[in-house]
Amino acid sequence: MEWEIYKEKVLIKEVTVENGKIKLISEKTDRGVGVRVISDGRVGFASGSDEKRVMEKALEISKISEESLSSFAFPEKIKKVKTFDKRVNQIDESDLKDFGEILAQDNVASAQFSVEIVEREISNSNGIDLRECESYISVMVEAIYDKGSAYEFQDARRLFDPEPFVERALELAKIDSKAEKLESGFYTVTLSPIAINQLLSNTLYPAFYYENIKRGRSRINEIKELSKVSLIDNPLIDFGLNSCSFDDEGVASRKTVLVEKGVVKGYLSDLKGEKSTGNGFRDGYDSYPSTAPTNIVIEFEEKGEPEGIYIHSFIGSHTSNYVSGDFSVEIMNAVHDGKGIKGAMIYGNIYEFLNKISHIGREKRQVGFTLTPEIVFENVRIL
Amino acid sequence: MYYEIREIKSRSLQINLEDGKVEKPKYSEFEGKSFRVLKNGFWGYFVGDVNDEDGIKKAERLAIIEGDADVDEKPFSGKLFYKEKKPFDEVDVEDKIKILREIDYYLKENVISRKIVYIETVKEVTIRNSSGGEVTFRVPRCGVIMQAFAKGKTLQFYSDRILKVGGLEVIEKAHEKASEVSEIAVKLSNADAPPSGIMNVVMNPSLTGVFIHEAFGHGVEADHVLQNATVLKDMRGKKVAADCVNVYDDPTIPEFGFFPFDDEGYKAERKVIIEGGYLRNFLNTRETAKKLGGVAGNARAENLAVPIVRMSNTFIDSGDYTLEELLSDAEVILFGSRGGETNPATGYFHFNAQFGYIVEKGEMTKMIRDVSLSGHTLEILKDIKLGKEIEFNPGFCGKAGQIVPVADGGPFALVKALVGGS
Repeated sequence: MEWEIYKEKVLIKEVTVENGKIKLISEKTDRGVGVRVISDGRVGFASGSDEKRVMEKALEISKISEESLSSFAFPEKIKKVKTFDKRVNQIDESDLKDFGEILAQDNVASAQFSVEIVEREISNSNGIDLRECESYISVMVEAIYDKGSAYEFQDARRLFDPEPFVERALELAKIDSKAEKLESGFYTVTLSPIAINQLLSNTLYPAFYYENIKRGRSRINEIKELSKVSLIDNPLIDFGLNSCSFDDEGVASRKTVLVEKGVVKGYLSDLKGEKSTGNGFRDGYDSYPSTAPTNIVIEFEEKGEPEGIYIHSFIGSHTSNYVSGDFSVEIMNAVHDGKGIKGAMIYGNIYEFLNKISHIGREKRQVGFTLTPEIVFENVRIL
Repeated sequence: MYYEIREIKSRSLQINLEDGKVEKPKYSEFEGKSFRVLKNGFWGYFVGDVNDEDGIKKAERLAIIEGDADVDEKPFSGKLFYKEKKPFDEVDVEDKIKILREIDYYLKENVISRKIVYIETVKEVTIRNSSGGEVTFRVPRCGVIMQAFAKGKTLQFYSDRILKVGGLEVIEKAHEKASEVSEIAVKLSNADAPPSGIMNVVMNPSLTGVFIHEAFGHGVEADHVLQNATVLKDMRGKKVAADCVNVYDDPTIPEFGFFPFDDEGYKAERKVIIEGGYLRNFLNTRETAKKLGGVAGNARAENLAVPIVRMSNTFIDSGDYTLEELLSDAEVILFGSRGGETNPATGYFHFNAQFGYIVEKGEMTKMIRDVSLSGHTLEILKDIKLGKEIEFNPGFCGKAGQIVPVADGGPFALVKALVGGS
C-alpha cells in the first residue's frame, strides 16, 4: 500500500464592519488531516482529525474505488518561494480594531479585514516530507451611496493598507448612484483586473486542465489562435497570491507557458494527468487534490491607457459555459465619460472575444488566479 | 452578556461515477465548536477545540469595543432527529454504487462524457445559550448531481440534480431523470444561439424558483436591510408585486433547505415574505429581529462560520394560468438554471438558463442555448402571471463566502425581461 498524508493548520483573525460600525472580531482555528492511499491500484481518501482512524477509513473506501494513480509524488529539488509575511504573527485584537476603524466609514455597508496563517504539511510513502507556511491578508468592502452600490477587495500575501480599497469602493458607489442606461451598441471597453479574472476563471482556465482536455470537455486543442495574448502560470513569484514551493500533492512548483503570443503551448495538470505540472491543489484538508492554476500572468505586446467604457466587475460570470466558452454577464460599476452605467450586458464567446484586444495597461494587479493590467477590447457589443 | 455555544458533528460520503468509473470516493468526518459572546453591544467570536469555559473567555476577550448590537434571547429547548426512510449505514457502499450504475446506464446514451456525483451527509448540531436554551438536531441529506457532455454543432453540457433532506430514498427514482439529462445535452449541442432583447418569457418552475430566490429573497434578508444594501429596505407594508404574488420561506418543508432549528437555536417556521403583492416580512437572525421588529429563525452558517441571515426553502406560490395560456403570450420559454446572482442594493439580477425554446403562436419551436435573463427586482413582479403547480429545486446558495443547502420553488411563470444572446 502507498500512502500520502496532508495536514493543514489554519488560524484566521478577522474584523467585521456593518453599516459604518465595527461589529465583530473573530478568531478561528482549525486543523485536520486528509489521507490518500493506493491499495491494489485503487485510490481511497478520507479526512478528519484522528490520523489513525482517517487512514483506516481511506483504506476501507479504496476497496470500491476505480480511481487509479500510478504513484504519489517523488522527492525532487524544491525551489523555495516567499509565501509568508512574519508581521501577521503579531496581529492581535487591538490591531484588528485599528484596521476596523479604517473600514468603519459612512456609506460602508459591510466590510471585512482578515489575516490568515496556513501551515500545510505533506508526506508520503515515497519519502516526501514537506512543510510550508503561508500568510493571506484580505480586505473586502461593500459601499452604498444613495441608490448606488459597489464593492472592492484585495487579497495578498503581505500586509497592506486597506484604505485605498475603501476609497475606491466609496468612489464607485457614488458614481453608481447617478448611473444611467447606456444605449445598446458597439463600444470600446476596458476591463479591470477584477472583471478579467471573473471572466477568464469561468470561461477559459478550465479549458487548460488536462483532465477536461482528455475527457472532451475543452475546446483548447481546436483553437488555432488566441489573439496575440500570452498566458503563463507562474507559482514562483515571491509573495504572489497563490505562489507556493510545491503543490498540495508535493510536486515541485514550476512555470508553465499556456499560451505564447496566441499559440497554445501547454496545459495544467495534477498527478492524475500524464505528467503533473505541479497544479494539484485542495480546497482544504478534506478534499481531493484537483487541477487549479496558481498565478496566471497575462502579457500582450501593445501597451497603453484605458479607453472607452471602464468595467470594474461583472455579475453572473460564474454562470458561464466553460466547455463552449460562451458567456453572458451583467456589467456592474461601469463608467463611461465619467458617468455610471446600469443595467447593461455583454455576451459572447471567450475564444472570439480575446481577438478584440487592442492593448493592455501598464500596471499589473493580482485578483484571484490572474495577474494582469487592465485590458482594452474594441468593438464589444453591449446590450 | 449573552453567549452561545454551538457544537457540530458531521460525516459525509461522496462518490463520483465518471464515464462509468468510480472516482474520487471520499469519506469525511468533522467535529468542532464555536463560541459567540455579545458584550457591551459588541460581538466576539471564537472557534477552536477548547472547553466551554475557555471558549467563552476567548470570545469575550475579542469583544473589546462598545457597540449597539442586541438580540432576541428567547430560549428554545428540544431534540429533533429527522427520520429518514433508508438510513445510510443500513446500505452497503457496493449497493450505493449499484444505484449509481443504474443511473449511468440511462445517462450514457449518445453523450461523449458524463459524470454522476453522489452525496450523503449527516449533521448533528447542539446549540446552547446563556438564556437557558438548548437544542439538538440531526439532519441527513442525500442526492445525486448528473452531468452530460455532448458534441454537435457546439460542445455543450447539461446537468440536473436531485438533492433532499432524507436517506437513500431521495435517489430512488433518479434514473428516471437520467435519460432526460442525456437527451437534452445531445439536443443542446445542436441548438442555436438565442435572440436578444426585452421579451415576454415563460420560466419553468426551476427557473422561477431561482428567480424568486435571486431577485427577491436576497433583498429581504434583514442584514442587507440594516446595511442599507437592499432596494426593499423601506418597502415593508408596500405593494411590490402583482396581486397574485405570494412568496414564502419555509424551512419546515422536507426539501434541501430543511432545518428544525436555525444555527442560533431558534425554532424554524414558515415566513410570509409577500402576500397579495404586499411585502410583509424580512428574514431575520436574533439580532436583526430585535432591531427591526421581526421574528428570528433564519440564521444559518456553513459549519462553524458566524451565522448570518439566510433563506431555506423559498417559493412563489401557484397562480391560475395553464402552461398553454402562458405560452400564448410568450416569445421564448426557458428551462433550468445554471446559477444566478443579484445585487440586492440596486435590485439588478442576472441568471443563466440551461436551455430554452423559441415560442411561435403558443408553440415551442427551435431550441436555444446559452441564454441569460436579467432585470430589476421591483419591476419584474409587477405583471407576472403564474402557473398552477409549483415544484421545488435544490441548490447551494453562497453569501459572504458561506455555502448552505437551499431549495427554490415556483410554478411556470410569464414575465417581461431582458434576454441575452447573440
